[in-house]
Amino acid sequence: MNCQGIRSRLAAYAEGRLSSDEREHVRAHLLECASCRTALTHVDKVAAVLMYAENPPVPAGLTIRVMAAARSRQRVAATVCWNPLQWWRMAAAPMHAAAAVVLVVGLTVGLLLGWTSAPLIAQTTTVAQQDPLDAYRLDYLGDVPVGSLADSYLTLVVATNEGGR
Amino acid sequence: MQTPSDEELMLSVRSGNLGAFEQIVLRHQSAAWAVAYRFVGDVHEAEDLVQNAFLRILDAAQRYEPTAAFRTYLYRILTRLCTDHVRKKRPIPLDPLPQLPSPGLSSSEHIERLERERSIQAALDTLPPQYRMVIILRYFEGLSSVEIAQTMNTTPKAVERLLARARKCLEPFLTPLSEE
Repeated sequence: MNCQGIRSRLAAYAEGRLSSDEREHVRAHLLECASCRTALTHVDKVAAVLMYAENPPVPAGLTIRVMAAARSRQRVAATVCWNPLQWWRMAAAPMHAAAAVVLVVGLTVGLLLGWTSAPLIAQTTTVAQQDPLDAYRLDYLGDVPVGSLADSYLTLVVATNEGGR
Repeated sequence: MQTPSDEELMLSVRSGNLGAFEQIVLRHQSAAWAVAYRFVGDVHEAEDLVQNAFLRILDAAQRYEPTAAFRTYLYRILTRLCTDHVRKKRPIPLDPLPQLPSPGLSSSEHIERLERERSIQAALDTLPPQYRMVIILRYFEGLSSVEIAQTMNTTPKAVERLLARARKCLEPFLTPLSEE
């Protein structure tokens, strides 16, 4: 690209509107061409000075250190309690299907158990209506002393349930 | 084989792929380093900031959505880390500049170049954090006002105002370095 082409791009260069390749191309020309550098000074004085600045090289081993820290974090995260939401997001579609099947089977089994236990509940109710002395074998207190607290309690319970002893 | 984009790599990182994360680091470490170093002027602090920025990206990978260019996202995290760092830090003397490669330069040209770099860095260090960041993002990273606005979570007009004020602050320091 000649000087005319470069100068038409100086405003865009100073305003950050060039791609990184175009920017490098313009900069490379400016480093060689004093006339275009003077033109840049009139467009943007700061750009004309800072274009000389070169970034120092990336420290050796930076990526290695970043990745070592990243792996260490991943190991720590793996020992933390299982997060079901995170598992759902990360699991593949077959795992989602398997989880759904397990859920449906579990609910079905739970419902079936609920239905089959209904007579037991009725039995429990019947037991509650029976004489507590018979159902809970409280007659082992039959030898309590007359007038004692236990005797008074038994009298009260039996009288309330209209049972006889 | 087509090279995956930054956004594709980040979606892979979201699934726990550390290999994709390493590619992200390799691609963007130079730009991240340049911003951090120009901002703090210290090699060790800049390296810590770059490392923290990439680790933050890794920590937030589960929530990553490609709504903006990845580089904008990286610059945004780095900007926050840099400005927080400078707010907490007391001013300390500048470290010597890291050794710049100087192929084909004579020793006097090399010294002149080092002096110029030192002066530029000293001028940047006089700026408040926000002015410093807009200058770095514009003149060292070549971002437009729109891109800088996205990075700093502000408007392009606000960026232009910051740039105008930052240039005004810099000019007395940089004028001796400019060619007549």
